[in-house]
Amino acid sequence: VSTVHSSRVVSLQRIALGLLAWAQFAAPMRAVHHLDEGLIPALLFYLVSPLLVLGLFSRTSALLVGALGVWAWKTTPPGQALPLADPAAGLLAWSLVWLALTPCGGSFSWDRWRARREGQPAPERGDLLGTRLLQLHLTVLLLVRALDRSSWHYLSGEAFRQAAHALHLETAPPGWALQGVALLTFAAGWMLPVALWLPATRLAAVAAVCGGWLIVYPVLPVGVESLVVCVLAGSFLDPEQVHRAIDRLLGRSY
Amino acid sequence: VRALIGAAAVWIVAGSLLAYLGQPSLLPSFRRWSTAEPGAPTGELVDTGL
Repeated sequence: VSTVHSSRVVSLQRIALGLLAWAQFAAPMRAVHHLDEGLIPALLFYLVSPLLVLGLFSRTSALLVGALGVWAWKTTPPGQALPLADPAAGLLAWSLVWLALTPCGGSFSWDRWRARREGQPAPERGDLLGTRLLQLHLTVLLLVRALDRSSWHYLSGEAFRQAAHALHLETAPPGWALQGVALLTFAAGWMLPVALWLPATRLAAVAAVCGGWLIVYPVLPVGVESLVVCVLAGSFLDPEQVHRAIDRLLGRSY
Repeated sequence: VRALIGAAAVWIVAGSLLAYLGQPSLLPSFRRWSTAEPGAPTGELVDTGL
């Protein structure tokens, strides 16, 4: 089976993850926090992350920003500098490392623009085998969350009752409603990681993952995690269908 | 590159499993923090356990 497809999806993921890397890492990476140690990596982040978004030396930029993110996430003790210690920061950083194994600069990039200007070949298609890593990492995340939900504490709706209390809701929803939501999200938690890998259910599963996590984003204090998950879910989309959809959207062949 | 991708795939599964089990790993555990756990974030974060 050929793994050579349009690179537009991974290129859009490069831009989206680059912007999310700014949202997650830029403030805590400011030099003022790293005057004693780690000043060079912090400055390097500010130097390289714009290149990632612009698509200049795309794969190297993705690898460097990802590695810097892993360094920042791993060296920050839990409970301190929350944006860095958050597991979402780790997911985001590793996703950038995996993205470096894809032709993420093949489209919508300075690399492509420069190659075309110099008359060099700038194919938009490349080997997308590396996107399997993005798919796998998202699947592992969903399975771990599903495992965590497999407890009576969750299934009884108690976790939601505690959440309502923690969020200072004046009127908590009735118990049967909380338990209903718990059962629904428990079932979805186990079904979605499987459905994402089945061609017949893939598109619906991507929509469900994005829809579910976008509902979570404004309700719970999860930071950029929901948006990272939505970007990763995009790696399950058919790259050729996305390519054609963008062509239709632009009204031309890019 | 293909060998690297294969090795990374094995590592994502193994490393995530280790992290989930609380063993040292370079990968995030993805578990929601519980406020009862040592090192849980404080301040504005409201842990929901969801």
